Amino acid sequence: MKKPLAIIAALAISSTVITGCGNGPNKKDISNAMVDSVVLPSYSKLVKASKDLNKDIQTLISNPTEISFEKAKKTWRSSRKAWEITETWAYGPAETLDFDPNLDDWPVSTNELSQTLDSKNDFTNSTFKKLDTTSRGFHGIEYVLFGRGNNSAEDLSPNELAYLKIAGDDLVNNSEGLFSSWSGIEGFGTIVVKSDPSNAILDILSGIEGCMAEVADGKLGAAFDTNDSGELESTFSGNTGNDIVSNLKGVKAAWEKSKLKTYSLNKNKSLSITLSKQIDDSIKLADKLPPRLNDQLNNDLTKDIVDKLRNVLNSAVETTVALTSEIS
Amino acid sequence: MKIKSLIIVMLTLIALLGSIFSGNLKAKRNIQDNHLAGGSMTTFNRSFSAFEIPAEGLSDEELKHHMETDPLFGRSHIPLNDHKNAGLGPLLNANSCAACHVLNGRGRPVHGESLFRVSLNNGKGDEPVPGIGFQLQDRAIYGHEPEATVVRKWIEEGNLVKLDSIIKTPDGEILQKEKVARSLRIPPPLIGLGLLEAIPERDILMNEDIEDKNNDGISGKAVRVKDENGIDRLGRFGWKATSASLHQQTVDAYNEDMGITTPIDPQSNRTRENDPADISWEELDGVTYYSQTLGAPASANKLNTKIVSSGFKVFNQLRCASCHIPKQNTGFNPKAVASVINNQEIWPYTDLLVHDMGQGLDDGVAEHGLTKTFEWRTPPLWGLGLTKRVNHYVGFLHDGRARNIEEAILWHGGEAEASKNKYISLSKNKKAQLLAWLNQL
Repeated sequence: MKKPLAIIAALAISSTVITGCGNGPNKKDISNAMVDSVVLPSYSKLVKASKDLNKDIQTLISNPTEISFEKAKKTWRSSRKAWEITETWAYGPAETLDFDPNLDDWPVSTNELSQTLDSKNDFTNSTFKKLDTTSRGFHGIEYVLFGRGNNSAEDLSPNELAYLKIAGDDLVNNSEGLFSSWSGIEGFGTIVVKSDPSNAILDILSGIEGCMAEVADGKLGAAFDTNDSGELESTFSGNTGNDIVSNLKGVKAAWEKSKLKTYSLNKNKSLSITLSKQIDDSIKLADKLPPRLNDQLNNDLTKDIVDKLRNVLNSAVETTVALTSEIS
Repeated sequence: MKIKSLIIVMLTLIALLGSIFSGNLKAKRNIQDNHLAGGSMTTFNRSFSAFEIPAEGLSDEELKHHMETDPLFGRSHIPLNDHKNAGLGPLLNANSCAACHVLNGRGRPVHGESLFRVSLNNGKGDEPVPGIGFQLQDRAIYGHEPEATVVRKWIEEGNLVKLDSIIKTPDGEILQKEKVARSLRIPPPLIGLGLLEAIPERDILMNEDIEDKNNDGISGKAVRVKDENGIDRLGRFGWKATSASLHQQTVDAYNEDMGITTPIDPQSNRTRENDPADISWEELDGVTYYSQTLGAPASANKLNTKIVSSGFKVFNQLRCASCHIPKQNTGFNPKAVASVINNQEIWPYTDLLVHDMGQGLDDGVAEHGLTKTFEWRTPPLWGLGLTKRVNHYVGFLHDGRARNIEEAILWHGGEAEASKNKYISLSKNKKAQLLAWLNQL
């Protein structure tokens, strides 16, 4: 009886060594969960959100009323959540296959877009194809819905409606393309992420770190340090603050739903608890931001929230770096 | 999304590893540790963001400046109203630096991430194409026509593939290959550029042997160019080493790739032609600084591992190291943009010279006549094994035709013909050792 017990004990020990913890998730669990519980559901929601927006855009085009106009604007805002929450895992096809610029390039090339929309010539598919990514995607649509001084549906010109029709379809196509690129046995999720769990963890942590740093230094820092609202995104709709909240909720999703948080607790409890608290604190602070930030650069209350948020995010980046060196 | 972290170096370098690591580094340098590719600027992150990590060893202030300049590299440019043709374009290849240098890695040979250099097909490849010049801008802002559009088609050549292209002007004219030579160029990864810039000219020239006086079959030629101030310098950047400095390379990229004009000095907001510049000196200098202060990734394996000792041995046996010179040293420049750039032992695997690479890599374009059509700068090999990890795509050589490292080796000709043939005759095991080593750089 001693020999089998020894074997079982040895197996148990080796299992613990391999997984890092007897009961917790292992690296494979994390890479699988990242794909199946985080990325694919998020891109599926993005596809749905894009279709919802496109549907409301097409309704606006066929029946341009105040109700349909406001509905399209409202759906634009809600669809932004579905995109911005994915920024943490924008690595992979979003970056390398150009879905990111096609969906979310900023700033909007208002000169070019205005030139086509104000032209006496009809806006056609051919016109759209000649436009750069800075005239397409979420922000191109945002500019036409919010940024051209159209106070009512009646103000929308035939060319603006024609643009929205094509841009709405294009948004759906790119969202579907992004979802497809991650999906299935030939998709990025399977052939890259799931097949290489160790690197998957490193990438998730780099994504978390990068998103928090970008919010702190890029999205907020560039504007508030230089008092230049031109550096802020989604200014036509005044949705900048909401974008940031969604970014940070994406960080939380990557940290928790991928099971990385549980895995990390077994590796370094203190750092993991610290990071969890910092992520939660950052979301609470971001929730206090006014959605329209571009006219708040000199508002003391807003600046105070921004300073606190940036400090928390910078600390969270430090924690992530330290945690990365512990578990990778 | 751009991946950046202000704190990476602050904490990892200064607080946790700073002085301890520096001490180790010096010790390791004494035994020539090719694991630390960028010397004290070596980075240790081999994730998808490996090429976006600021160099280790920057001071707090230098790191802060690097982080401030990072967004400039990713900034999408648009046409502006300030003056005629202000901002992006009207002719261009891409709307931002990052559009081609995706995640600072190797670009794909596709529209929007790569470009064509062209010349009249006169045998020398040194005459510009009328109406186009030496670089074809295949995109334009709205209201303008690109110089031409290009249909790209990859054709089989044995077990390899090679590019075929049809260039068509807006008026429908097809530019025949017999008249117009064309050479597709993908962007190389941005690794250790500040270190390459700091290798003393005399060190590079030491390996120049135009007449092959030592009869080793390797000539190696330095490219002499005039920099933006008209001063004769040694070219070291670009596929044919036609840029002497990163500043010049940045100016050229803004002008040629994005149609964005740049100021001539910090005091002026005007171009050499005395027109208003599209971007400020601060932005131009900032993007240059960003590229100068990027790190070089450590190899995956350390010096004393079998994968390194066996693979590096084959590399030397094949005499790859004659051109891909493993080790270089940076000089000392009191005005260096970051002091850590100075006096580093680095492992880029390049001599920064151009070599005759044979007919297979002769695209017929010589770029201003500074090189022959078949001459190419020895590309650095550091970070080679991270290519797929970062960009999820592999395409080596100037036009991305090689789908893996072995194909890249098999395209070698000219001065590298003998090395290639030695590789072909290697045992399967030896080939595997070499490729495994290259894939962990």
